[in-house]
Amino acid sequence: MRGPIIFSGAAILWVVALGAAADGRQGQPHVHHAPAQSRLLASPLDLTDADLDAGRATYATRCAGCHGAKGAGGPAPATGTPAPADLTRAELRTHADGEIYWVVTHGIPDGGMPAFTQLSETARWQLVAWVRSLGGVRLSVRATDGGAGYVWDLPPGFPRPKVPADNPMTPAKVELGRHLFYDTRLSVNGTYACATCHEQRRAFADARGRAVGATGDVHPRGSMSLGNIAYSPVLTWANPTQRRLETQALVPMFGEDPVELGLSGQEQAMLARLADEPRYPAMFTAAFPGDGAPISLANVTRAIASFERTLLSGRAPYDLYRTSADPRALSPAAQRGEDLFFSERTECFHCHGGFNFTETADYVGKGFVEIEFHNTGLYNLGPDGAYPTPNTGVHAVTEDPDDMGRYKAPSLRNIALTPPYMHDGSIATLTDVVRHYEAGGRTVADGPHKGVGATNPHKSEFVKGFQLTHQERADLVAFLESLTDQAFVSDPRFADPWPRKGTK
Amino acid sequence: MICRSVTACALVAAAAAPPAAAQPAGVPVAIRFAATAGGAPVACGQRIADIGTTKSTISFVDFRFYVSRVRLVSASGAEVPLALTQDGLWQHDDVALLDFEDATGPCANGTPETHAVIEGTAPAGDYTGVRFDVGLPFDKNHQDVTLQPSPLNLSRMFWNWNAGYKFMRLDLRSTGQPRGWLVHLGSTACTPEGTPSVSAVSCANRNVVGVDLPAFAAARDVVELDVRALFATSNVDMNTAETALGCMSGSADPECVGLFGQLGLAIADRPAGPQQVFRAVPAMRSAR
Repeated sequence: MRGPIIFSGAAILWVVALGAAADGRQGQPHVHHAPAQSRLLASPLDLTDADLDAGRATYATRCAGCHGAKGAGGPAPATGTPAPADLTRAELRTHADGEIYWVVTHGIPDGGMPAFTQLSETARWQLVAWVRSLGGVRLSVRATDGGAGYVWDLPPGFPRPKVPADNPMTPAKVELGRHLFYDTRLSVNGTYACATCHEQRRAFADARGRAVGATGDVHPRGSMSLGNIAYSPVLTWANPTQRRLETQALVPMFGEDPVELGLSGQEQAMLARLADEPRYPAMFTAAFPGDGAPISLANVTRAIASFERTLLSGRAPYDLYRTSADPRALSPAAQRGEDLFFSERTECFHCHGGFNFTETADYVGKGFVEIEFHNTGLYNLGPDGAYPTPNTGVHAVTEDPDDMGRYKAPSLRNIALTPPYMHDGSIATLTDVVRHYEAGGRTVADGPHKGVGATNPHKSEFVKGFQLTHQERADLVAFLESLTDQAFVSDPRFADPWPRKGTK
Repeated sequence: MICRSVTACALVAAAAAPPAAAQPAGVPVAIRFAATAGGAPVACGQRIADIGTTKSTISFVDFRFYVSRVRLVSASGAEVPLALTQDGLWQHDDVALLDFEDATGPCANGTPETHAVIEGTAPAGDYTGVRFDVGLPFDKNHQDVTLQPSPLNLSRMFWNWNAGYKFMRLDLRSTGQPRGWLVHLGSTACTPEGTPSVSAVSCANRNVVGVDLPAFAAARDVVELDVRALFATSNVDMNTAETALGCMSGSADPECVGLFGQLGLAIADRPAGPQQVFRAVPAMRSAR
């Protein structure tokens, strides 16, 4: 991929913006051209912390002299030459890994930066990763060794979940996380735990169309099932910025619009309540050995995330049938429904495919992380295909008009346990959900949400509509019901560990 | 050190050498702030009249904001960064939290401590102005909040759903909105960067307020945040249905339009302009 150096209009501008330095010297903006095709260069590394360490070492010996130990840049080495770039600046993030790799490889011919061709390709990619991290970008997210060494109870045929390297799985952490998940001390008024809206008997969702928080705030959207959440590279209904369970846990804890657990401003009080529970000091110490003050917000989120990653569901009748453990586990109706589900006629599987019945999935060994959001024609307010606020889908986060109404296709495992359906609970039954897709979108005849969803300009091409007989519709629902994993919803390992009374 | 050309070698060697001259020893500089309503100091529990287009009466429930990248400006126009005192509480790196609530009365969810003075050092010099940002540098706004030092570990300032912090929170109760009218300023329209392995984000609307006070002497003046000016074009007695209470920085939230205008921030199709909220005033006047 070492193409010719191109200095043309097609090249990408590499703008080395220089802030005013401490002595008031104004640097000259330096424009560097990396060829457009360098964006296509992709790192061959599945990054681990060891790669980052190697990149850090290379940086310290080869780069820090000019760019500074922390990458903040430095003074121009001589009059008339550009100053070394600030590698921590936000603009660097608009450049692809391949562009940084290209500059490392070729240097800046007129700018005083040498080419580092003497470094091996691996060393250069490790260096790219470290340069990325200088700007505060967390790269260890992709590292997968956090799950190594942990004995997973994987359902047959299931891959191993990816686990962040900075929060490795341990039985002690999982058990602590289970206690925290069911602990109402995690709410402002002692009434709510994670488990309040994520009930095991409902596959860790609840029975409401829209969740209700500890102080009575009604959430715009419904609680999602946590079954197989370990495989989801993006969390919640439609927030592409939520990538880690550890981070996502902060939303229900500290969110204020709406209030869920209501802990904003209460973290010290919450940690004090935890420290007072006789079980916790030893559990936190066991889960976070070597941490002098283990009862911390960071560790609370890490433990809860570790427990959530164990919530694996893959022993439904459909799985027993598919893995030939019990060829009779699936009724004839459900078998016919399976054929319909995986047909181009209904297109269900395009968004709800794969072992977890959602295409949005990631796991150890998956080459590409797939994240999909789809507009399914639930609403169509006005000419631009608007969804009712505040439930505008990914658009609510990105404000991109093209993201209007785009939501994650949830896993369909245990879907029969989690009515009502869709992000806002606006469809009561699975039969009606199937009817919605038959119609290729929902028509709301009257009221503030009036509109023909089928003609929503942002609608997924797979929601094209189809016709089913009464029998076929029932077959399709029978198939969906065969995804209910009774072992999962009654597994004592996932149950409330606290005594029935006196948990306060 | 390996260099491909003599020139590059020389440049690398020059840059690697220690600085020729040590920085001059800094002198202490304190940038004082005051929260006022038209010049009169405001406090938790106080009823503040004549606010906004409806001349509402408000009391505030929370009143904090981050300031970063403080620069002193010399008469020649050169900027000198103020090196903030690293106090382990209010100031970290180039970020300071200013806090005008004291956890009394309606501010019960706050902290008893307050902070109205940014302290640091700068080379001795004749400075005639000050510039700073209200908000956080990008890298500090998008990191694991559970691992950050004070003042970046206050959950009241977390804004997790939007992958960052609230830069400013000024929560009110008003005559017409006794449930609350909340100002949460922060970055919006955030998206993850290209590779899915990276959880960092870029934000189309950073919503960092750049403040430039060209006539400011630290010994003489204070930086005044006038809530009457902040809400001058807002109606704090109403809230549009199906939008956040008050303004939580949503581009489509009508309650943000006036507020962002006063802060000089672009919103929807309105361009950025000069901020109208912070000004330099003599300390004597503010203390009145």
